[in-house]
Amino acid sequence: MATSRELVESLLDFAERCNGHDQLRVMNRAWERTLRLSVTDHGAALTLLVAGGSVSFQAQPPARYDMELAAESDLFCALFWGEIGPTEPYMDGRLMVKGTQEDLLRLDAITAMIWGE
Amino acid sequence: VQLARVLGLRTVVSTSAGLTFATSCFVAAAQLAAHLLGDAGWIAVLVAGLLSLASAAAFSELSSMYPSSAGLRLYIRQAFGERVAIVFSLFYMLMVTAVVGAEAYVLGRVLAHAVPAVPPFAWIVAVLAVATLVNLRGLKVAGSFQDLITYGMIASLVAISLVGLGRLGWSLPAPFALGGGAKLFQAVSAGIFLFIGFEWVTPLAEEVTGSRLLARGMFVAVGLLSVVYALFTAAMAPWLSNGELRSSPIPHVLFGERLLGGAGMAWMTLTSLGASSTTFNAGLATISRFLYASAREDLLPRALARIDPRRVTPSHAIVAVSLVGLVVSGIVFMTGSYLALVYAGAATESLAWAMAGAVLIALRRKQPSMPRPFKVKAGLLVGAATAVIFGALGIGALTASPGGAAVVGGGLLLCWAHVRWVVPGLKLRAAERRRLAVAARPARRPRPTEAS
Repeated sequence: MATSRELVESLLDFAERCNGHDQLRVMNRAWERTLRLSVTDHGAALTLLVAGGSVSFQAQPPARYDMELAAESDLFCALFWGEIGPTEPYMDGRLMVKGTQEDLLRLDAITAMIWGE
Repeated sequence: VQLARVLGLRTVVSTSAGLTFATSCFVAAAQLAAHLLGDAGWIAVLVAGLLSLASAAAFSELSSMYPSSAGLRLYIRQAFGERVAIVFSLFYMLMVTAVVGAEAYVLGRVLAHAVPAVPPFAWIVAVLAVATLVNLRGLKVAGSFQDLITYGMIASLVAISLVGLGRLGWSLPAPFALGGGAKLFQAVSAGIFLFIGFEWVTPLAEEVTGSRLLARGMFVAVGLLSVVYALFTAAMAPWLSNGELRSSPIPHVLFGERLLGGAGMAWMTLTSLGASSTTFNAGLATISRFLYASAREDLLPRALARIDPRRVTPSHAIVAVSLVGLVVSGIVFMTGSYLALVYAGAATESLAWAMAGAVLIALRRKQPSMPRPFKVKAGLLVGAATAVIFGALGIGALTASPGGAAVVGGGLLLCWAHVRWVVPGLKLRAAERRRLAVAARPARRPRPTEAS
């Protein structure tokens, strides 16, 4: 199990990389979403906001959200640090998602772009 | 705390029912009627629909356990392991692609019948080109438009059926003449084609508030389809000769023409366009996303994981599916063997449902304490019945068509060989590529545990 600090660091790193990626900022400029990250082994939730092409993070759960990602803390850390891609854990059930198929595809595309895969 | 956007029962029903509509379904309905002695096709449709409810129950429980668009692939993996899941899901998608090709062929014949000046193959190319363009641009059928298409289709089919039955004086010459149990079995095997894809609504589990809503939606959709197709089959069969039922790719258009002349033909052509639009939209979208996800997992060539950054659509995968569909249509066009694909589709769907039944049993044993928001009563019995009945119906569909059996056998073998010999190489190359990508990345923030 990853610590809360590790989780926060991985999210900050992810947000930094997204915001520093010009092509990604253009791709997401009209995509405004609130993502709830449910950390199952912590019993807690965090918020990832995408607005105006920028990604930001809040340490508390959102009141309303467009998409929910649920996984264990270790998996979230590995995902946001780019150690693994989201497709494999999604297909094997370790990462559960609630939201539209389009948003899911875009999220996957974002990770592919920032990690240069 | 809640999701900002959730879907209701009406849209779940219209999506589930809409996904099954296809012009090829009218061919399957005619095939089903041709298997029987009299005008008892409606009985075979109702039996097929009733049996489909068992698979709907299995899918409801499975999707409530794993509300994921990975669907059957994920359920099989949990029950029988990764390799079986990959082989079966690749095989299933390959067969669906073949059905999309058959659909393009049948719709091409319908349009060529309506506008003979344009050759059928030109229609096929045009239909696939439009479907590809729509998918490449990421245009999505909105919930309300899906409602309109599905309920419009239902109203259209019910209306023409009532006209047909009314013109027969509200009586069928031989409504209960089945011709024996074996004939009914063959008719039901073909009838499964009418319900192909109702369970494709399970990815919506990620967009609805509760699993019970999804389950209810699937049950309502299957019930609705059973009644509509039973009515349509009963009304159409007496208007066509046995030869037409057996071998015409446009039985519904002939039915409309006999009933109402040119107006009937136009009516059925428009109905075909409505039916095929949902098939192309759902088929291309679902298969291309599956190919994309498989390529991202290094099960298929990396080129298929290309995303159009402007539209955020899996562009290469969409084009690949369309090209395969076009090749299949071309082969069907040259050989005229569209029925082989109809039976292959029916057999594949039956086998997928049999697999769902087997998975239900396996997961009841392997993961007894996993939360099941929707739990099928007498689940082991329902699972066993689903596995046995649909396994038998799948074999029944294959014995009815040697061509269909060759397509299914060849597809299964191809997918198994791909997973056995090609995937390991793809995985190796991907691991090397990933190693280089990681080495080229700027350093990340250190893990706090590493820093301290």
